[in-house]
Amino acid sequence: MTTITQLGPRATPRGNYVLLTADTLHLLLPQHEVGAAEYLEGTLEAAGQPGLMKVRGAEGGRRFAALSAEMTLLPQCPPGRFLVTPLGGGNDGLGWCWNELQILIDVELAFQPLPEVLLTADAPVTHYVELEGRLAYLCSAQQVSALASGPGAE
Amino acid sequence: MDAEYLGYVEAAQFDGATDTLPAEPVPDDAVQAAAPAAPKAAARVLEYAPGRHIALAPYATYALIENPDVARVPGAARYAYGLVTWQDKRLPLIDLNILLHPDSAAASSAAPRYALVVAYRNQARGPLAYGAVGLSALPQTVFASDEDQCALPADSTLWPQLALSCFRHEGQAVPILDAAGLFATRRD
Repeated sequence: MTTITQLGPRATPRGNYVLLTADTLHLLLPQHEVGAAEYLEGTLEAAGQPGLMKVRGAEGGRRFAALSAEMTLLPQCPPGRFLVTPLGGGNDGLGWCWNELQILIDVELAFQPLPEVLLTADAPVTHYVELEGRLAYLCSAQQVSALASGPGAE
Repeated sequence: MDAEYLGYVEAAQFDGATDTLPAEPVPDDAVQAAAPAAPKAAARVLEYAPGRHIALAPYATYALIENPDVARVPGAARYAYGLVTWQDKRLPLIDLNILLHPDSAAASSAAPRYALVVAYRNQARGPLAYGAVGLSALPQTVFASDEDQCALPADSTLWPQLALSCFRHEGQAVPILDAAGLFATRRD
């Protein structure tokens, strides 16, 4: 199991991760916090609660969410977000929409702390890693899920 | 992305030199005709917003990156452009206008024309650390003396925390910022 709490500077925890891509945003979550991926079937529309969506025409049922590059909830699902995963056990019934998903098995990643001056008190990410020339931010399912219970979409 | 060096001064100059500008030789053409002239020290003046200036000690201004490639950081502070790459390092790049005037300055999603790399130490004789500030124009080197010292402007609540001193230049109060104070802590 991969544990990411209380990372020190330049931490290199070894484990299994899932790289989730939402356009220019790349998030790394421990693999055990990401549920099975499935394809999005249907078109999404606003579900009444800011930032949450449902399949067009469906009443009740599952809700979906999509992140912006700033890690805020988008009011609409951008084209290309056809992969859906539950996070953190899926107890919230929410499906998160991604462009791409990559599983990294037994990797040792050199996480770097973000400079303090860039962070806010409720910053959703605090560490990053360079992966094939792009920055991926370490995150937990709890941190992502908390966005859906916040004040709402951008 | 091009980096231009601004003339790095030996790291030893940082030691114990964070509270005053270092005395540097004044070029002949900068010496005022009136004599006797007060000793002058150099300062790097940055226009961080139209008509708004701050100064840094020259030894703290390390390099200039033109058209920096900026990686945005999700959920970062409003004044943060993100991370800029410089010499295989990822440095924080900040918008001084939003940092200093959060209520009046509009956030910009566009990267600035220049990123000025600033060097500082978090503790005396500690390793150099780096950050960067976004600029739309090149920094200027000016010379100031004790006679130019003036009170801090009243247009930002952060001046007392960030400014080491202040001098008058072309009729405007120009705070001299402490680079370590600028980058060492989170502010939101």
